[in-house]
Amino acid sequence: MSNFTIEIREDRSIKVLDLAGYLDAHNSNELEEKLSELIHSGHLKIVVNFKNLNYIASAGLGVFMAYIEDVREKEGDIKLCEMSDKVYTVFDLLGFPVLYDITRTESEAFEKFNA
Amino acid sequence: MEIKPIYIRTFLISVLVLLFLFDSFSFLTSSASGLNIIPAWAVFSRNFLLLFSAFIFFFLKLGKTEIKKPDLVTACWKNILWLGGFLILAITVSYFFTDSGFHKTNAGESQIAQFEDLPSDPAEASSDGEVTEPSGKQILLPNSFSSLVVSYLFGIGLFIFIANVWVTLRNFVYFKRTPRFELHFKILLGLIFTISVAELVLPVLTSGGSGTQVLMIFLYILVAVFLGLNSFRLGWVLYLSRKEKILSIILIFVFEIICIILLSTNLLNQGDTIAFLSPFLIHFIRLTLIYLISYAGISFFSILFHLPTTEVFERKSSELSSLHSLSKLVSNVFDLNELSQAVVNYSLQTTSGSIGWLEIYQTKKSESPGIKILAPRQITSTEIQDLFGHSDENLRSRLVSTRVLQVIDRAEGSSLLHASAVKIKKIGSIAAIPLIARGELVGGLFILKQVSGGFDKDDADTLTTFADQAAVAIDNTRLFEASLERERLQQELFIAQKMQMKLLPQANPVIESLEVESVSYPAYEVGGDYYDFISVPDGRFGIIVADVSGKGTSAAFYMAEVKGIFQSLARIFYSPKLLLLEANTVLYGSLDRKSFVSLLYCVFDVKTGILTQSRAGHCPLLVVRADGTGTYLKTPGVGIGLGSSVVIEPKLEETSLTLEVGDVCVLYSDGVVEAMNEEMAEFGYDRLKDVVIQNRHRSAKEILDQLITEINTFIWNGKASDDLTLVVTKWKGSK
Repeated sequence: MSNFTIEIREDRSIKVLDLAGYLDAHNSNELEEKLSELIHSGHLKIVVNFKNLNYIASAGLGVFMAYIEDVREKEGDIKLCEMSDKVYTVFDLLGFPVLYDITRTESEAFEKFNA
Repeated sequence: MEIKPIYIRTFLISVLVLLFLFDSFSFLTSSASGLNIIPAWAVFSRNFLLLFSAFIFFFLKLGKTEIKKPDLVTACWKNILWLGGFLILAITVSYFFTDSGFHKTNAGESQIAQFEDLPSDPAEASSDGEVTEPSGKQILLPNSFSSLVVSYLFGIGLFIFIANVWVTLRNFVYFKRTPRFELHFKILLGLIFTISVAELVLPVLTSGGSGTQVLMIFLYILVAVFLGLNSFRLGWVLYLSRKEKILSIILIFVFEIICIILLSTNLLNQGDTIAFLSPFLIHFIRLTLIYLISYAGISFFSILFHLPTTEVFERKSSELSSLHSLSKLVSNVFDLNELSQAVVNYSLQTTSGSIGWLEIYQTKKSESPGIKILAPRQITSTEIQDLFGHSDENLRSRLVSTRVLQVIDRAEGSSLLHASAVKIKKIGSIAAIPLIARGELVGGLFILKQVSGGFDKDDADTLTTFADQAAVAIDNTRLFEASLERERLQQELFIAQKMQMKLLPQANPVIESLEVESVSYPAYEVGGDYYDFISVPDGRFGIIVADVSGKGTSAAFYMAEVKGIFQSLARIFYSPKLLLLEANTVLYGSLDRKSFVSLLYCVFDVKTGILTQSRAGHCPLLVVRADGTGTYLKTPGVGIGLGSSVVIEPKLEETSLTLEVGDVCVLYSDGVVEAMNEEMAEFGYDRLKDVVIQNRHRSAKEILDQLITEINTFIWNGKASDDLTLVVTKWKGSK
């Protein structure tokens, strides 16, 4: 289950992370490294696309939790989008949607940044 | 039957004594009567008796003596002393006892009949029949009694010496031998024996016909061939040290001169001293001496030619032995200091370097490499630091980046070294060898010489071999330490697991109106799942199920914290929502930023059947009514630690419902619904609900067992990757 990949692209000065595969306790540090790199290099507007992510474990959620707080303090944000129902359920159960921006499509996430 | 050596010795001595008495008697009678009365057959049989004794003595001596490693210098000294002794003795005898020789005379009338009556020796059995013309031969007679004594002493002494020469020669020839060596040596010995016997027998048996001469020539050619072959068995020359070689060259030279003097002059057989005793003896001794001269001569030249290569060979062999000791050390010693000292010492010895040290690099990602200097010889750590200077481009950094052997032939003026340090330490050339174990650079070996260009390819190869050994040792030590560490951690995890199991309820509570059954399995040694019960004196009963994010030890610590908070707060806050908010206030500050806790707290009023619950991001409570309807109570809620209590408060709700008799409530962790089979399918909410609905009429214990069975059947070959906790309650109604 360690087939987890992250790809980073840039769209209108916003970094977009495409996650794919299974995100669990063993590979969540990969995500952590990528996010910390982006934030340290001054990219505070980040969109994470979950379109190809099949599974997320609670350790994966923890990573987002930590970094969203981080960038919000610096007036940036991490917005999450295009989650499958299954992945959304996990976020929803923990109450993520009421605290963080989770959108259906990527463009909605972009709009939220521009608003 | 065993023949004891003492019997043989007695036999040999008595034969000699008898023969001496016989000779004395015949000398005395003949000198008294002035007639030679010794018949030829007597001389002849005396000869055979002597030959027979010599044969026994010689082969027993050779057979009994063990083959040892040759010791050239000792052998040279011994033989020089012996042969020199004989030489002096022979010269003395020839000067002082001028009349001590023997003169030839015709043998007395032979008695063939008597000769044939003698018990014949097996050795000459075949020749028995041919003895037809023993007469007409000349025999030797002593000039005086003293010549008889000299002959016996000299002959026997020389023969014993010659036997010893063969024993010594055999040690040399057999050095690192193959079966072929042994065969050739035995053939040579056999041939020399045969010729010596033939020289004794043939003149007696035949009258020197051309056939005999051809046979003798043929035998001599064979001896020459095998003598040559056996003279080139010189494997031991290689292993001599330089000192031994020089000493032995001188000794062999002296020895050769003595041998040649003895052989070329007739000193040994002055006045037929030995020929009187037995012609066999003189031939055997002469042939042996020829072989000795040939072998010693070839050894002499061989040693002479090997003299210049001695150092190379000595170096190679010291390399080999160093390597051998080193690999022994590597497998036995886990002390890096001891090992690196050995590596540096051996390296300096074999390459004649003057300064050396070994250093270890701590290879941790994204950290500047920690350098540990071990076993510095003739240099201090500060000096090493000075040598590399403070520039980024130095020999060490070059070694680390290229990971291949670096040799600086001229240290002076090298950009990789600090010039002043080079001058102070008088460094001419330097070699830096990487220590690579399992593809990773673990350290470096540095060897310095005072001469420039001091490291040739041979040195580099040797140092690389040593460095490889050191790398293996360092790697072994690290692995050993890592495995010790792992064992320690394992032990600690085991303790943590035992502690954690104690944090969970040890027994299910017994409540009249409510059946409660529970189970929890950690996926790893320690887990993040937690459940607990609490009875509040006013008739309420609380159940909490929590899941700490992450797994393993850190989760286990948070779990312990959650338990402490829950046990204290549950006695103060009756409202689940208030309890969760208060727990959040405490935990939000202390939780790691990436960690959170999902919690479900249910409070049962054991008198009225009113259930109040609140959900902080945990899997929703499953309620299956007695009539078969099942629902998940997805009350809004946020995980503990996601935000401050002020943020969470509006998002957290609590709900109540009144239980009817037979209603089943199930609290569980995500490990239950996310239990995965081989096809990556999850057990899921629906399946959980269905199983409970189908089994709702059974007792709480039976429902729990059924759920576990169903989950295990579902997972089948898959592996539980998350902790699994289940609490099943069934309302029985208060009486």
